[in-house]
Amino acid sequence: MTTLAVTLVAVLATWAATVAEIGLGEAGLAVPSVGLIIAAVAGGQAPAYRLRWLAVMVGCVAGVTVEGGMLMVPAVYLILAYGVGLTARAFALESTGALAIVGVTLALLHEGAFLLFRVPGRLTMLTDTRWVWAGAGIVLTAAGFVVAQRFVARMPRLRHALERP
Amino acid sequence: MRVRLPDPLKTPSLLVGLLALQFLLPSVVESIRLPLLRAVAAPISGSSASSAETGPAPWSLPTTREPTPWPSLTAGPLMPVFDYDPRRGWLILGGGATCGVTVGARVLTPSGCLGVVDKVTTHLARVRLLSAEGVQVPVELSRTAVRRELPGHVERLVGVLRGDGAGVALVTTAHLPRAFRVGDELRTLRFQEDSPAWPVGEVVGEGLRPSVRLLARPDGLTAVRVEGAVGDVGPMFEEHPFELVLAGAGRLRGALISGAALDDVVPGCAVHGGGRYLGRVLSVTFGGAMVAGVTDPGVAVSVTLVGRGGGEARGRLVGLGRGRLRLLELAEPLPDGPLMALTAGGQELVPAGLLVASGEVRDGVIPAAAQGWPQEVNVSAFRWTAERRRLMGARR
Repeated sequence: MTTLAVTLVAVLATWAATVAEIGLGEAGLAVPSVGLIIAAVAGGQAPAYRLRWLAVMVGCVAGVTVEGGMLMVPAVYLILAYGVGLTARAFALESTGALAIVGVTLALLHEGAFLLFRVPGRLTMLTDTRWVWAGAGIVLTAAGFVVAQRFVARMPRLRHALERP
Repeated sequence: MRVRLPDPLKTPSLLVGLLALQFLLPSVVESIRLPLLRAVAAPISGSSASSAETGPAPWSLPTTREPTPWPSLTAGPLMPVFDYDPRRGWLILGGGATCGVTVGARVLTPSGCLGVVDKVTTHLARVRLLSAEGVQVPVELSRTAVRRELPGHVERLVGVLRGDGAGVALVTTAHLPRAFRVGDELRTLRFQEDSPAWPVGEVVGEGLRPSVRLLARPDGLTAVRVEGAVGDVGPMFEEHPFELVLAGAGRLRGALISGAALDDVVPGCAVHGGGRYLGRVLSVTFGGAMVAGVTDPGVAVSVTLVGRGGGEARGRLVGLGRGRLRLLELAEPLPDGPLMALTAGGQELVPAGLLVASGEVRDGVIPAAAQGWPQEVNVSAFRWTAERRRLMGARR
């Protein structure tokens, strides 16, 4: 039940971000990757089965907008979320600085993976004339990760909902 | 029997499954993606389309033109070129058995003989290029053409030209191979004294198997003539109206279109509106087709650039985003002043004569003619898709 509720909220948030990205036109590139943020936050908290389900669902919603990305995006989310989980276990991700470093790395790895697999992403757009929006999207994704981590850390009930089996 | 995966293997298996599906069955995944995209983007469908300019061209020029100026080599209809496959050494022409095209007929361009028809369907024909590996054509070197005495005072030297698959051909069988000299122009063999002979190539290497540079090049070719063909080729495309469902924004590129004639559309078909070229169909699924916009980064189209004074140059335009295109692979010097770029045809399923870009070329960049997507577009669907597929799949 928890998995279903968490997934439903996550999918709705990702869908809203996707609609905003298309609806805003050129400026849509600045919309942060909400799906990635959710998967990454869950990666540090949720059990493996919930993370898998969550990453695939939000990844599919985010992936439908990009050519060749419908299954590629969930795969990238899954890898990065596990990476964040491992980092959270190895280092104390409590300070804003540490979280920001992880957030920026996460956002860059996310776009780098798209570039590698030729899925249209923000790094592709950085070479285009839309680099301002694309750069803002990367920065906002990193910032969104920091804010989301802080938010979950201050909401014990939400954290508990994510953590419990 | 139920198989349970151990926990540590579940995530790697899921990853492998996702990536394998994405890379091994891309068309299936894309067919599922497009209806889902339509569902996900339902609240904003169509609203992100900007109004495209569909007014007249900057100066008067008919939007459908004869593809190439043609010296009168021979009579007969001009046959449009649709597919050129350099790897397999063939191209596909509009015009087949209904135009009297027969297997073995020679195919001619303004520069000379290009190849030989090797497959014919009712409305299309496939041509094996002279440069393709294994293609053999009888050729001759006449005394009058070389203006020198040939060994043994013969009137002509005869040989068989064989393609090597790398754009060059060799005279493999000739009764006096060492009599061929660098610079000699070879022509197709005349079986009767009064039958026509067409230029084939120029000898560039002497020896037991003289090498020959072929004169007719298939790159950028839009139309050819076929020996013995008669009658009218007829229209090769049907125009179908489509509606814009979703225009690209953010990381979504191109546009999603929908219409009643979706079954007639295949990937590669040109999308246009008001005589302006908008892009090409990337994939088709039930309920919609994804279109790559002409200015999307990396999307390319072969064009003929026409100057105000009538001068022409051939080249390719590649999308740069934001309604701009970069000019590449120019075959001739650019005409002066503002230019109009029209689709050249000759490449897959894009008809010739659609306006792609117009204006001054600055630093190799020219503005696209259509800015944004109109709410209604036309798709030029190729009429003989099944025949084309048969020719493309047929072995030689």
